[in-house]
Amino acid sequence: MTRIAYCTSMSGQVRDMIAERGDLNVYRALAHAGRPFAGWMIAGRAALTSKVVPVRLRELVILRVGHLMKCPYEIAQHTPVAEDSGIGSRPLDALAADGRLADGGFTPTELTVLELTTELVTTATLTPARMDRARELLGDEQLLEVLMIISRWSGLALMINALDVDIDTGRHLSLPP
Amino acid sequence: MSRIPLTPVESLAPAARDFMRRRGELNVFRLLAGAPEVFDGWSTMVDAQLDSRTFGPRLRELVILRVAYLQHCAYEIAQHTDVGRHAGIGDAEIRALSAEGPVPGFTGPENTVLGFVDELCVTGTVTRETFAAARAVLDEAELTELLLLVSLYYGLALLLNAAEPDIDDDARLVTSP
Repeated sequence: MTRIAYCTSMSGQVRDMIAERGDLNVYRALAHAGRPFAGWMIAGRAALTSKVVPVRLRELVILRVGHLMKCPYEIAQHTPVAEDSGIGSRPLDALAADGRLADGGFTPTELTVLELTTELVTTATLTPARMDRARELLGDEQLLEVLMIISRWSGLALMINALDVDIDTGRHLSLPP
Repeated sequence: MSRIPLTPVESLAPAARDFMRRRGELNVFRLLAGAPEVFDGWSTMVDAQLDSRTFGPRLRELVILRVAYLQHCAYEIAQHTDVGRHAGIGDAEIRALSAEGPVPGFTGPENTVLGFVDELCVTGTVTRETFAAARAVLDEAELTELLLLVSLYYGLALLLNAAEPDIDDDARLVTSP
């Protein structure tokens, strides 16, 4: 059970930000933080609306981070988004921490990005060869956004795990237009 | 040397240029400015955290430095050692923050917060008891803001360790007084 009460006294701006993203428990828990929370929501909106990283690749990375960080909440909320972006059950299974990425039917670019994600989240660093390969395939801007996605969702997993946020019943992450 | 090229200051878009005029022309910002679709959202989040008065600068910098050491992030350590000194963290305390295992020498709420941060960053979550201990010294707004702070610097460390921007020669992060 979520370890703090959900925030009920928030500014109209924060309330609107949360409503736009589906009124999820994680937002209702973190909203106690006020302005830093609003800043974090603004950064998240940019991450979710940027078209630099295709939605499919973004969701693969988020789910892989969710598995590696042992965050069932992220997996629960992002699995439907991933499915909507065309990711089927075989790749979803392969993303599990004990799954085999090689069995996921991923493109070479996706596989490279998922291996990079795995190395970075589990060792907190990257071998130069992996970085060079990712740069060749993605280019600098897309690689930076991939790293920012890993950065945001790994940090978010810590927050969700610390607060032990209940998985939402009947509420789904809604993506800003 | 950065594995991803840094954006020259003179090529920055106006909002990014304004952010760096206020916060410093740091290599980390010039690195992330290479992702212009998400940079402004990210920098808004950083501003909101650094401008917040919820914590005194000393506690904020203790947390940031501890996360930086746990993540082995030389760049964060370099920038925040200076900020931490200005916030009243002594040299012996800074050395203590680099400890493997529990940080020695702190007492009271600082010690409780550092123990919470250690457990969260090392294990990816905290036990019920550790959460309760933190909650006893922090209200809901403080606890959620602490999580946002840990989340930001934990994730940013991954990105910095991957991209390896050079530690800045002279540029220093400007935090609010």
